[in-house]
Formats: sequence, structure tokens, C-alpha cells
Amino acid sequence: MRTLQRQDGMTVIEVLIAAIIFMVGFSTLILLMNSTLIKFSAREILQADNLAQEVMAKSLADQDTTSIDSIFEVAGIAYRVTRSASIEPDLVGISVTVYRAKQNRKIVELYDASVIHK
Amino acid sequence: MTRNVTRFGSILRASRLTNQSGSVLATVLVVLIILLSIFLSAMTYALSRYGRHMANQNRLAASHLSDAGVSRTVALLQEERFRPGTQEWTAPNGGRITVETSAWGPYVQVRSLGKYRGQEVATVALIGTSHLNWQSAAITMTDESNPLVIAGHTRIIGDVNTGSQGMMEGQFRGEGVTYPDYHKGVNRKYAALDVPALDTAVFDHYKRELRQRRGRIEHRLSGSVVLDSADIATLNSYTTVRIENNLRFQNVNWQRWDRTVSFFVDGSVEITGQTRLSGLIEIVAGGTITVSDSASVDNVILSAEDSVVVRDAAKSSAILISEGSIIVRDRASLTYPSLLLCDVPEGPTQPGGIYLRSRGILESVCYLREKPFHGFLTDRFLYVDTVSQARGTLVSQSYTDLRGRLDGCSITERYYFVYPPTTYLNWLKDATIDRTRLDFTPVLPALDVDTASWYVLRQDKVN
Repeated sequence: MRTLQRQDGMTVIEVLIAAIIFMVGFSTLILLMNSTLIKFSAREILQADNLAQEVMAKSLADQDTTSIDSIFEVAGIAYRVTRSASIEPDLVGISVTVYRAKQNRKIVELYDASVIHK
Repeated sequence: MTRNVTRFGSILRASRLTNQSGSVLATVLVVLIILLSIFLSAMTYALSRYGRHMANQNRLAASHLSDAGVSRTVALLQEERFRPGTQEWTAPNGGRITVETSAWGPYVQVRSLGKYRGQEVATVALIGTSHLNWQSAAITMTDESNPLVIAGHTRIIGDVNTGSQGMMEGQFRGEGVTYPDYHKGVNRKYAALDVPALDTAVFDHYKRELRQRRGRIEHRLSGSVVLDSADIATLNSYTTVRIENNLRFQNVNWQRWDRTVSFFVDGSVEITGQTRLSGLIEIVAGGTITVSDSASVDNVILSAEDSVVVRDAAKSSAILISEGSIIVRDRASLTYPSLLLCDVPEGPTQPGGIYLRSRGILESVCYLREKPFHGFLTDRFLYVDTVSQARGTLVSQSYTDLRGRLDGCSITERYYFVYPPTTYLNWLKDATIDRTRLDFTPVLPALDVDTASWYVLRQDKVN
């Protein structure tokens, strides 16, 4: 009975230490995932997608082949938008990329094409 | 809880490690499990939400890639004309584009698959041509042997292209004197005009593929068949079905865009009730095809050797093909993009054509195709009666008998008018053709004309 009581006490301490180690390890893993996987907030992704689509739609409609590299601010967040065009026979290919301006991290990259009618 | 905390503080005192430590262990474990569960739930939710956003973003990129595949095919058509088969490209952003090109009736069909980081989006598009020179005018009449004669209350708003005989006023035995200001626009005379012909490379390819499909029937149904929505689940697994007698679709709701299904029906076909058919469905009948009641067909090909009839309150944005007659009547409504293609076979044939009767409403493209005739004229007409409305482009390699109103343009070999007992060639009486009331240029089937340009007629995301 005495042995059992002593072992119980040791288990509590062991559990606590194990839990602390586990929590520290888990938090480190989450922080690591945050920095590698979750690069952007949901709001940033949505805003970047909308921005990329807007620039793409206008570029396709106008068949605008000029390159741009500009900073756009949406609801207080700055985004860098680049556009490049490739011209093939009867076709304009447009690439639009949106970065987070602060760290210059790519959020979204779209490619689409528009026909040049004769 | 307070008591447990007190006990927990006493753990350090060895002498107090008594029989209460078991409950402390349990409490600590329970609290830890609860905390861990909350933490894990929150993380799982955050990660799944993030995953959803990333999947949506990749899907957006894939969607643009599938659109780019369609545009690229249009550009290739302009350069190299029609080349059926599969092509693949890698996009500058690392995505992949796979495009399958085939024929869907007289149109080019493209199935473009955009792939980006595990996400796939497929687009099905129909591509045709526009003959902008002719479609920007109200009338283009190619007959060289007779002038275009305007009589009665005929009004033409828009340019008129005629053969070298030009345009003139006329009257019927003292009545039907040409209405003043009958033409508002420019009249141009040309030598050796031709009604634009269908691109045989596309339509013949479609017919060849149709014959191949007919030769590999996967499922046969004997006798007459009535299909309702419950039967569709069974039929969804087949691509070719043969019905040895008549077929009836009764209140069927079927959208099929993933692959083509072809029905070969020896008898007639009825599409009735509240039936909705859309997508890559092809129905080929030896007899008549009738679309009636409140049924609607979209993108579907309905091809009949005898005739295709759209009536009652039926709606169609389908491709209707017949070697006999296509009849739209009784308030039936055809909306763009749809096509009525009368494909007259070679040799002497029964009278037929495309008929818009009894308040039928057409917002579409009609094409009356006539094979080069060998010394005889066929009695084929593109006919719009006095109470029907047509909006779009009417093309006839034979006659056009236009008595009602057309908002759009008419391209024809000749006009035809009967005022018993006399038949008048190239006379227009009491018709109204107003090009200004059509604010777009309908895309025609693929034409074999160098001056025609390729355009997307319709584009549907299918997954």
C-alpha cells in the first residue's frame, strides 16, 4: 500500500513534466507550421485573390501587354502586384502575381490567355 | 477544486503523499486532456480553414488555366484550322493545361482541364465562327440573276449587300406599293457573292465520330421506352444506348457534362413534361424529335432524319439538326446560343426547311445547308411567318421566305414570295429587318471561309 502511494506521487510529477515537455514540443511544432505552412491570413489570401482576379480580368479585356510592378493597398494591407505578358501568334498570355509587400512573399500567381482576333 | 489544489501543494512534502494523490493525478490528467482537446480542436479548425482557403486559391488558378486552354485552342484554330485530338501545355506558373478538341455538331468542342497544385477545373466550350462582313449588314443576298425587290410595308434598317443587280422598288398588281423610306442604310453591290459554307472538316468529323459511336453500342433497350428521373442513375454509366423503337423523356432532370452520352433511337423521340436535359447528351432519331410542354434542352444535340419540332412552352438552347424540317411554333422559345441546322442531303428531296410559325420566338442562329445541286432546285425554305419573331442570324444556301420581323441579319442565296398565282423570286413584302436591334454578333457554326474569325459560343465550368 505504501509502495503504491509513493508511485502515485511520482506519476503526477512525471505526468506534469511529460505534459510540459509535450506542450513545449507541440507549440514549437505549431510555430514551425505557422512559419512554413500558414504564411498568410485568410483575409490576406482572399484580398490577394480578388486583387489578382481584378487585374487579370482588366488585362484580358484590354489585352494589355505592358508589364507592371505596383503596390496596391487593400484595407490597410499593402500588396505588390506584378503583371507580365507573353505574345504568341493570335494569343496574349497574361501572368499576374500578388505578393505581400512587407516580406515580398508570393501569395497567388494566375495565368490566363486572351485571343487576338483578326 | 480548491481542495485538490491544496492537496497538490502538499505533494512536495513526502510525508503527506498519502492516499489523496490518486485523485490529484486524475484531476491533472482530466485538466490536461481538456486543455489538449481545446488546443487540438482550435488548431484543427484553423488548419482546415487555412487548407480550404489554399484549396480555393489553387482552384482559382486551375480555373484560369482551363480558360487559358480554351483561348489557346481558339488561337490554334485561327492559325491551323481544325485539328482534333489532345494537347498539353505547361503554364508559366507551373500548372498544366490539357485540351481535348473534337466536334459537337457543326461546332468545335473543347474540353480544357486546368491542373494546379492538386486542384483540377474542367471547362467545356463550343467554338464557332463569325462572318463579320456579312453579319454587320441587315441583308446579304447572293443571287446574281435577279435584283432584290422591296414591296409593301417592308422596312430595312441596316446595310444591304446584293449581287450586281442591286435593289429596287416593286408592286403587286396595283397594291403593295413600296412604302416610303423602305431602306435606311447603305446598299453595296458585289460580283460573285457566296453564302458562307459550313466547314466540312468539322461537321464531317462529327458525323464520322457519330458513326463510330453508333457502331459500339453499350446498352440496348428493346421496344418503346419511357425514361424518368429514376432511370437516369442506371443510364449514367453508359456512353452509347440504342432504343429499338420510340423513346420518351418524361419529367427527367439530367445534367451530364463529364462525358458524352449518345442515344440512337430507331423510332421517334418525345421530350415532355418538366424534363430538363443539359450537357453532353446527343439524341439521334430515325423519326421525329418533339420537345413539348415545359421541357427544356440546353447544349444537347437533337438530330432527326425526319423532323425536329419545338412547341408549346418548351425552351431550347440546343443544337437541332434535321435532314427534313425543323419547326418552332406555339410560343416555343429558342434562346441564344442555339442552332437550327437543316442539312439537306444530296439528290431530290421532299419539301422541308426551317419554319418559325405561330408566335414562335427565336433568338438564335438558323442555317439552311444545301449541298451543291445538280441541275435541280430543292423546295427548301427558311421561313418566318407574320406573327413570329426572329432575333439573330438567318443563313440560307437556298430560299428565305421572310414575312415577319427579324432583328438581326439575313444572309441568303435568294428570297421567295408567293402571291397566288405568282411566285416572286427575291421579293420582300411587308417584312421588317432591323440590324440595329441586335446588339451582339451571334457566333455561327464553323464556316469554311477565310474571312471568318473563330469565337467562343459558350463556355461552361463542369466541375
